[in-house]
Amino acid sequence: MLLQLFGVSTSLTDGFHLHNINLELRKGEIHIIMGENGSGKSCLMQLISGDVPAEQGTVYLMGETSRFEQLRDSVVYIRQNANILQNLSVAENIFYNRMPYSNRLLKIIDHNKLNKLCADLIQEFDLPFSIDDRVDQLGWAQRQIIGFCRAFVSDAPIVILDEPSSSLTEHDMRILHRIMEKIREKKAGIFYVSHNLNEIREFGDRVSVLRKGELAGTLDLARSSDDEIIRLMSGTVLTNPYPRLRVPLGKTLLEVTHLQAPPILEDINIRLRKGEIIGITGLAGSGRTYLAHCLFGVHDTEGGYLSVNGRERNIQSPADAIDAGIALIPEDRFTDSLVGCLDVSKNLSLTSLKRFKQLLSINTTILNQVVLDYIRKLRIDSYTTEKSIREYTRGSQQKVALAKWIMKRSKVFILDEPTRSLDIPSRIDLYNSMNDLIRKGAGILFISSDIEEILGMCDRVLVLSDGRIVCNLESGKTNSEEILGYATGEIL
Amino acid sequence: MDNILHTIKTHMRQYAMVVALVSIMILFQILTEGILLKPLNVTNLVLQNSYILVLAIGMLLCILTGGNIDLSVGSTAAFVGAVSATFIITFNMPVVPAIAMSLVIGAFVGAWQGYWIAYVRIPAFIVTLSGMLVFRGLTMVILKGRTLAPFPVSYQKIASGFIPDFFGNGEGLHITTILIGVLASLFYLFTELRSRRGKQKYDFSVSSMPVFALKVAVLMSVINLFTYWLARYKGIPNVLVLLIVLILAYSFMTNKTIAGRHIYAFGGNEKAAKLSGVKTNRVLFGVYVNMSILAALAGIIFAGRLNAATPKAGNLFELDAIASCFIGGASATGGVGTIVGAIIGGLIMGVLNNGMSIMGISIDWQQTIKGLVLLFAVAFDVYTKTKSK
Repeated sequence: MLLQLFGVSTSLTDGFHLHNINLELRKGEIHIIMGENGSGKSCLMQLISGDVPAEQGTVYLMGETSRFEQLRDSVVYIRQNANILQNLSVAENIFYNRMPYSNRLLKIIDHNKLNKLCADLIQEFDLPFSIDDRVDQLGWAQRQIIGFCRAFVSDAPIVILDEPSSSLTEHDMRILHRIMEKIREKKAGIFYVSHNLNEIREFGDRVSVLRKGELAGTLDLARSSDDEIIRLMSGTVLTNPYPRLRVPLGKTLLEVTHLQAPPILEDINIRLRKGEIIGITGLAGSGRTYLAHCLFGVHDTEGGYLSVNGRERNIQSPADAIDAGIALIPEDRFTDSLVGCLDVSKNLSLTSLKRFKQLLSINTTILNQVVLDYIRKLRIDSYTTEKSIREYTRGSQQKVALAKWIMKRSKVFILDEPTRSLDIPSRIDLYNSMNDLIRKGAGILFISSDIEEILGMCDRVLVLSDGRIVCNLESGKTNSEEILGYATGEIL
Repeated sequence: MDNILHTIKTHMRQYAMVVALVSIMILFQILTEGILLKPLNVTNLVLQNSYILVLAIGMLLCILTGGNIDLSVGSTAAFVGAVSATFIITFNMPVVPAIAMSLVIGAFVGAWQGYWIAYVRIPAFIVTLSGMLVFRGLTMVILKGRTLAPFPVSYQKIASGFIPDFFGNGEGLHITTILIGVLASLFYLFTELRSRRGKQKYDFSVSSMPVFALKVAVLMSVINLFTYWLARYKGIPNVLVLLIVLILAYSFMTNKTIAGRHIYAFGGNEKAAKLSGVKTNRVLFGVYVNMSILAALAGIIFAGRLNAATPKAGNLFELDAIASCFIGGASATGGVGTIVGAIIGGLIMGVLNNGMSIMGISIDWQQTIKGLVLLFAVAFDVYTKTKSK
């Protein structure tokens, strides 16, 4: 037995608390941690990694009593995108804690050895980047993989992966599997935080479900059904994971022909109609996010033609794109979409302030009224406009990031990985909001690496590979193998 | 009672600054044996600090855009003071067009710095550090190292004149000032009632009637007491009228206009603001142009008060203005801060300066104490923020 927790409790000031947790991790085990947003998963992981103090309970490490603060040396905690140092190289990031020194005393780094080690690692796992790549130019998924590699080279007996698979494509997932197998061979244990029931079946040994700060139960994955796990998580039974509403398609909303954005995108053609949801998928680094940013005027494009509602548009900046009726809900919503120090009302109205302008000033009374309407309609947690957006759950933040564009009355919505790290109820809410949008005559470009989700929600699927759209499939007439084949280049 | 406690709790930070100001005033009132709050000295406080407060307003906008500061404001003030002196004293230009042209020159200074900051994206710290040297140098070039004086009376009036008394006989109380106080407090009452009614109409929560009444009554009496105090000396100084207009206009701008919202959004998260359609470069440029225009205004007020344009004018103004904003609760990372806060911060600095001078504390100790007050004020702010999380 690697790690045992008995009766552990803690309460943090901001509403999260853990109560009487009993949990164990075996050697070589992959132990899944599940639970809805706000159920205390991250809090528990922080506790195990020694970042958060426990108020009660005992912990045994390798059979001996220990203290949580001491666990820090034995645990590697890979958070979502947080451990990456932007200004260092790939090799320096991976070996951050295990630098090979040519002189131990003076801590002089042996760069040749470092690069050799890193090159071996890249070859061993077939990683999607090279030693020379700068980290600030890598995509989200590639950075995640750097995190996994760091966990692997650390040789720590306990590894925590916090929602590692969100925004990973199946190809990246295979890399993650290989890395996890190697960690398992070293007799280390892995805590794997996830929302995705399908993926955990492939490698998980046991699953522990948290609900409202308590451990709802630990199940053997091989001997439990999805229903059992979901019931543990929420107490309810899930009916349809993808509640797609079909409406008759209208006229063309967005037309893109021969769009070029060297050196990444080549000859992009998209035609989006009213009431249509088009899925865009591809491997990490295939240019999905770059495409979204090009359409929204963040990156420069060369040549090509873009029209919205039949009118040709020359989009140079996000402001131009917004004027044309395009909305972007970015991949990283907290850093790219929300202003942390402002309240919900100010965040929601940022795009549509002109609507509320009277003479020189903004009519805040009417504005707050409209904002409250949206908060109620979209079930954003608290019915007040004055709390800072930081204090909301992820699900609500995502709703605010979407609602600010609904309030703007945009027509073309580009959603970049909108369901990443959302729990199942929040996902359903988001899908329903998408249905609402298409019913009102909008069109949606839905970027996601979750192929099941794309198949469930979209009319058509575009697959990007190396900056080109390699196929345009009807979602009813394709399957995940075919899409993955196009994405990896196995089908040409 | 719970309601009152709740209101106090939620507005803790705002009230903390007011409480700090009031306690510093009481402290110095005792230490100076009652000199601090004599009508003459209250008027002096306003006159002495007017240019710093004007600068603090502009500086707050700079700080809101992400902790950027403007180090050049002291030099710009000196530069524009020198330019206006040259126009008026050397070239014998009439006062009004000379002032207008000086402000336009201030705008050009801002456009110059704003261009490098907003469009070339050189850090504001570096651009304004350069500006600090450049415009100090140009001031000396224009003045050839000498002092230009005196200004015509109408120019001096801006900084040291008082509004005329239409009703009084020139002796005793300044009646017009008292009337203005009464009108202002009634206007305040009216706007508060209107906003309360507007909120109730849309079912927004409002503070309970006693809390509301207490707040309004306190502020109304403060307004009247203040104008009565000024009336006991020479009435309302011209520069106070200017200052109040600026405070109201900029509070309105930051709270109620699209430009204001864009500044806060920019400071809170530049990338998100850009992806929400805020023209970020334009916002940054505008903020620096505005800062330099206000610095020009401060330069004119200071030259008028001194009745001279000197090469050393405006020395260290920038630091007082920056300190005012941070004492007043602005965040060094941007996006947080209010105009009223910056003004209160400026007044705290002003009362400290004035009180210590009356007590005869030497300038070296004054600096030391001011430095420590700045540090502790911001430390308190940081402490309450982490605690509330």
